[in-house]
Amino acid sequence: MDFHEYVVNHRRQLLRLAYLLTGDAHDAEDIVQTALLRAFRHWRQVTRADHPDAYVRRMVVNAFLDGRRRRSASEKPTATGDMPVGAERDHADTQAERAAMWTKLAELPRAQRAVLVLRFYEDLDDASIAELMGCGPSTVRSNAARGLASLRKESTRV
Amino acid sequence: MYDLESTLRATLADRAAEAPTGDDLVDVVRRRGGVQRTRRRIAGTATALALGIGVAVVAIADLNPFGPDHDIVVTAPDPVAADQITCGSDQLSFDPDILVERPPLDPDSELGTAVRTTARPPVAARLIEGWTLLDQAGSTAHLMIWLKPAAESTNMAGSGMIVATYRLANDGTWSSWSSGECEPQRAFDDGLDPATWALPGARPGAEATSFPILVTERGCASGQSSEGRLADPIVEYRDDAVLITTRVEPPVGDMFTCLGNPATEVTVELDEPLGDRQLLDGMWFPPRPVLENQPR
Repeated sequence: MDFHEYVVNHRRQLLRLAYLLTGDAHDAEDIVQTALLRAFRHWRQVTRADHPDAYVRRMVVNAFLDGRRRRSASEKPTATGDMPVGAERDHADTQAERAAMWTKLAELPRAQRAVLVLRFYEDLDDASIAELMGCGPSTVRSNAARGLASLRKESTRV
Repeated sequence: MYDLESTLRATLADRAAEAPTGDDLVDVVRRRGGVQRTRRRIAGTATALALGIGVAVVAIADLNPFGPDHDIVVTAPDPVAADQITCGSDQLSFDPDILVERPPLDPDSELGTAVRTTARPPVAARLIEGWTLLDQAGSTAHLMIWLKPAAESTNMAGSGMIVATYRLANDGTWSSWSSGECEPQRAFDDGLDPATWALPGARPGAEATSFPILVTERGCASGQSSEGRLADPIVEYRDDAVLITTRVEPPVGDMFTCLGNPATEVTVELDEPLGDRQLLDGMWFPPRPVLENQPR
């Protein structure tokens, strides 16, 4: 697999992951571009790896976790305060709920957000997440628990 | 009942559909990273010499997920690329004529307006003589800032040039993202990293066709030796000078500390006697005379 082929086939997956991590299209493009540039420079090692895509995805996650990227402040919380508990949810309620969830996700520490994205979007197990993030499974579990607790706290507040 | 995890999963799936498509990603990365490189093994032996210099400024662990690659295949550069130059550490390359012509940034462009008004420059405005747009891709632009001749400017950047990266935010405003001195170097389309070299002894005699040099990798490599990663030196012959350019395979891994890198001794073989020609380090633009009698 050459580099061009890899990018053509995987760029959208990488950009979706980066977008969910950063919450910002420009930052997502920057992160993926940075990761692909590194991958390009090490392409021989990447292609010889057992899981080349995991190698590049780890570069994306690390670029996000390195803390030098700005978090988007462009999205504002959507007001959901009047939602009645236990009421039938219609489409608008669902959208408001997800908008609030997205906003709260953006406020989580990077490591917590990364764990939740990798677990609930990429469907990775804790061991795989730990490998991607360069930490231990226990750190993954604690970040997941804290992240979910923050989201739950917010959802019960609305 | 409210199901947090289901909502989170659905939210992420919804939002993923809003991610950018990256249609120009291949072109952008190729342009920044250079063309595919060629490879061959280096001949001869190399001896690593620890100079032990430098101070760590970036402390990020080696994040290579698959561990070090001990079966290094050394890459060798194409004979000479470079009709382009770079500012050193970044991947941006540009025409060297820019250093002479200094084409001004269009003052009526969005970026030109921004650097004059809202976007705070990375150096004091009183020191800025002019701006040149080097490259712009998407929401990122690279600008050269020409400094006015002044002691303060020289202290900041001996070359008198600052390369600055600007980024466009979601609200349409440009702002300075990073900057650093531009020390022009020749760009090579080989995927390798630059390295400087020096002579461990005095200048070789006129009849010399072979002599040792000490090669030092420029980039951050966590202080690891470049032994096994050095490409064959590029030798160019001119009437009045012999240019030697050293290149090195990037270290394996993702991020590195910026400890001083150890020098590696290699032997350069010339096709013809050196004569009275000057020895120049071809990494720089323009090439620079090399240091002699450097410690091993």
